[in-house]
Amino acid sequence: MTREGPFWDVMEGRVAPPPAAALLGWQLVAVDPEAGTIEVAFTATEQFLNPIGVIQGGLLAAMLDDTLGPALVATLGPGQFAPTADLHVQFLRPAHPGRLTGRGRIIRRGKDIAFMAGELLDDSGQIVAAATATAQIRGPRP
Amino acid sequence: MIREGPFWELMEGRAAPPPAAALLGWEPVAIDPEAGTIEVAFTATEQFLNLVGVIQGGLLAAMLDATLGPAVIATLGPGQYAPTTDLHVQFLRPARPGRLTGRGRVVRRGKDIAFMAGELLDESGQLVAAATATAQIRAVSP
Repeated sequence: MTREGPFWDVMEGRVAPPPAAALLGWQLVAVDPEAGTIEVAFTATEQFLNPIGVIQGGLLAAMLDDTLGPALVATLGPGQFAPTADLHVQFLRPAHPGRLTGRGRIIRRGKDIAFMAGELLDDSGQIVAAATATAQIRGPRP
Repeated sequence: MIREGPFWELMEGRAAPPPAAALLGWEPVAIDPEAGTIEVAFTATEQFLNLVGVIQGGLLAAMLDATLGPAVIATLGPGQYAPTTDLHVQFLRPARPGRLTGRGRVVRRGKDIAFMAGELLDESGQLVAAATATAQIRAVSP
């Protein structure tokens, strides 16, 4: 597989990481485009706290979106992109500031649609949130 | 209904928003606890952009979470809170930096569970995203 396209442009330093990824402290840990899997890390800061003093659920959703999207984008060709149409998140445990790990995988991929699933874990390895997502695949196929 | 406590201080502009709300530029606009409805505003900045140059979907999910959560909290008594267990977001149109409006409502509320729905609109009044959520209603431990 040629490592071209928007994901690899970021990974190989040809393009700056997007602002939203920087906001969440996004870092690639491992990626396997042939298997359709990815592992990424995030840094949850005190800036992400809700009134109860835990990380706001919606920001955990943002981290899961930024796990599942890249799982798919890593498999695309140059000129392709994959807007997420649909994201469903279950909030399983409270999350606290610190490092969070996102694991994502493509469950099924067609010509113009893809289905992903993943989890967010805290630094003791406990699952804090789980998600599924559906994305459209657009742009010229390689 | 007595409008006291930290939530009402926030809704009535007497208290500063908690960190995650401040990050999203959250502002109260209108609230009707008897009807179970709320309207809030957000400021999407360039810091929220994704690789394609539109607001990252997960951050729209965070805005919807920060709309639907308060819709329920407004109907609770002192000593109760309502963690969101489940959030489902559909991304309808691309969103760009600027002011976004969240409208939320409590669809059904029981003693220990609540169901919410809502939308996020851009400055021209077009829908950018829609969501449903489920929350548990709990008592703060003494």
